[in-house]
Amino acid sequence: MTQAIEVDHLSVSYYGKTVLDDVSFEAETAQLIGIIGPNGAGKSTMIKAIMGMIPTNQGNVRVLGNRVDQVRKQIAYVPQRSMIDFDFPVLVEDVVVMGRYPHLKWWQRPSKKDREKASDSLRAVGMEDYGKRQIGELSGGQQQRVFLARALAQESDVLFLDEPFAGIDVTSEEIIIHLLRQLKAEGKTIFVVHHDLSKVETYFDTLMMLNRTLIGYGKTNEVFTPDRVSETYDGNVARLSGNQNQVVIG
Amino acid sequence: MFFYGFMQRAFQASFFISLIAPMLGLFLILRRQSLMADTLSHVSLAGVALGMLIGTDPTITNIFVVVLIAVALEYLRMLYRSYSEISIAILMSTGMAVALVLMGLNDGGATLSMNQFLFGSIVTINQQQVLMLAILTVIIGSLYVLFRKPMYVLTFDEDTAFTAGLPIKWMSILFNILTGVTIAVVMPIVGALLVSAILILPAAISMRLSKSFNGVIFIGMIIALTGMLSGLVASYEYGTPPGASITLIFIFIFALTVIGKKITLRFKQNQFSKS
Repeated sequence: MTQAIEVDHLSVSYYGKTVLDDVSFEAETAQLIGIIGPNGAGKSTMIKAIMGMIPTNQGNVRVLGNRVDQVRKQIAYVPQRSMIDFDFPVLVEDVVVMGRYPHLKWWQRPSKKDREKASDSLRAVGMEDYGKRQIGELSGGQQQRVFLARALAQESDVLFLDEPFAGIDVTSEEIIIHLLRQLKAEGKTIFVVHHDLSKVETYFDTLMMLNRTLIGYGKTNEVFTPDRVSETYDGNVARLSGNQNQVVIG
Repeated sequence: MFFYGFMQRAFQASFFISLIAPMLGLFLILRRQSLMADTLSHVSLAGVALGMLIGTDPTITNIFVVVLIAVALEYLRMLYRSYSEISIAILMSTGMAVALVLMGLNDGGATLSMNQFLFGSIVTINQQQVLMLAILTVIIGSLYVLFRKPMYVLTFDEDTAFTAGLPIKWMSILFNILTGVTIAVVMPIVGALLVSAILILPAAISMRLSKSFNGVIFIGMIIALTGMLSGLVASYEYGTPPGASITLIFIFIFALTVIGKKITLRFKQNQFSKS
C-alpha cells in the first residue's frame, strides 16, 4: 500500500515551550484515523505542522510521497468551528465554492463546473436547500456539514478534520461519519481529531494517541487499551465498564 | 451652494470616498482591524507635521510615513499574533508623540493648518486632491476586482488561504498600504480624528442589512454616499466641521437600522405566533 503521510521526528515549540515532541509515524492510504488526547496534547498543532501552516523545530513530513508544498491542493482541511467567523457576510454556497480555489489561479473566478461541483458536495451532506443562507444562520451541525462539503469540493486525497463532531446534533454526526467512511472506501486518507472516547472503536479503524509525544498508534482494537488511554490522559480517565465507556474527568 | 467651486470639489471628493470606504471598511472590520484606520490616522498627523516642518506638501510626506507604518503594522501583527492590538497601541501613541514633537519644533507656526488636518475642511479641498482621490478610486476598484476572491478567502479563513497557496503576507501588506494611502488622502477633507469612522461606519451599518459580501459593499456605498453628501450640506448650512457632521449622520443611520431591524423582528415574531 502507498504511504499517504510519512512523519519523521517532528517537533514543534511555541515561545520556547515544546508542544509536540519527536513524533514519527506513517499512514497508509484509504484510512480513517482518529487522533485523541487531552487538551493541549498537540493534536491541532500536529495537523497544522503536517500541512506546513506553522514552523517546526525539526522533522520531515512527506505527503503522498512529496514535500507538502508540492501537493498542497491534495490536502483539505476542516478547522475547528471556534476558529471560524460566523458573522462573516458569506453565503453557504460561497463557502463551499472556496473548496475549489486551490485548483484555480488566484486571479481566476470559479467556473460553472466549479459551482456544479460545489452544489454536488452540498447535496452529499444534505444541505442543498441551504445554499442561499448566510453561514451564521445555520446550526452547529449544519455548519460543520457545510465545511465538510467544502473539503469534498476540493476533491483532495488527504483530509484533516479538527474536532468535526464537537457540539453537533446526532443527525449531522451520522451524516458526517457516513461520508467519511465513504471517502475512505474511495481511497482517501482522513485524519480526525476526536474527543468522545465512547465512539472511538466504532468510528476509527486506526487510532493515534497523543500527549505531546506519540503514546500509541495502530489498529484501534490493538492500541485502544485502558493502560494507554490512562497514559494518554495522564490518568484522568474513569472507566465505567470493560474497555469501553471511558470518561475523561480531567 | 452648488455653484461654489469648493463645494463642487467637496461633492466630487465625497463621491469618490463613498466608493472606496465600504470596500476598505468591510475588509478592515472582518480582519478585526477597525482600529488600524484610527492608528494610521494618528500616525498620519506625524506625516503632516513632518511635511510642515521641512516645507514640503504635507500630503506627500504623509503618504510616505503612513505607508511605512502600514508595513510596520503587519510586521508587529505577526510578532504579536495573539495580541494584535499591541501593535495598534504602540503605533498610535508613537504617531501622536512624533506629531506633537514635530509641531513643537515648528515653533507653533503650523497650529492653524494642523487644525485643518485634525478636524477636516471642505473649503480647502483643491483640484489636485480630487484628482488624487479619483486615481485612488480607480486603483482600489481595479485591485478589488482582481483580488476580491483571494482577499475574501484570506479574510474568512486564513488557514484555507494558506492551503490554497495564496501569498498571504504580501496581500496583507498591500491591503495595509492601500488603507494608509487612502487615509493620507482623505484626512485633510474629513479630519484625522474621524477618518476611521468614515471608512468603518458605512460597512458596519451595511453588514446588518445584507447577508452576502457583494451586497454589503453595494449597500455600504449607498449609505456612504447618503451620509457624505447630506453631511456636506449640513456642514455648509450650519458651519459645522464636515467630518463630524458626516459621522453624526452615519450614527443616525446606524440607530435607524438597529431600531428598524428590531421592529421588523418583532413584527415577524407576532405574525409567526398568530399563525
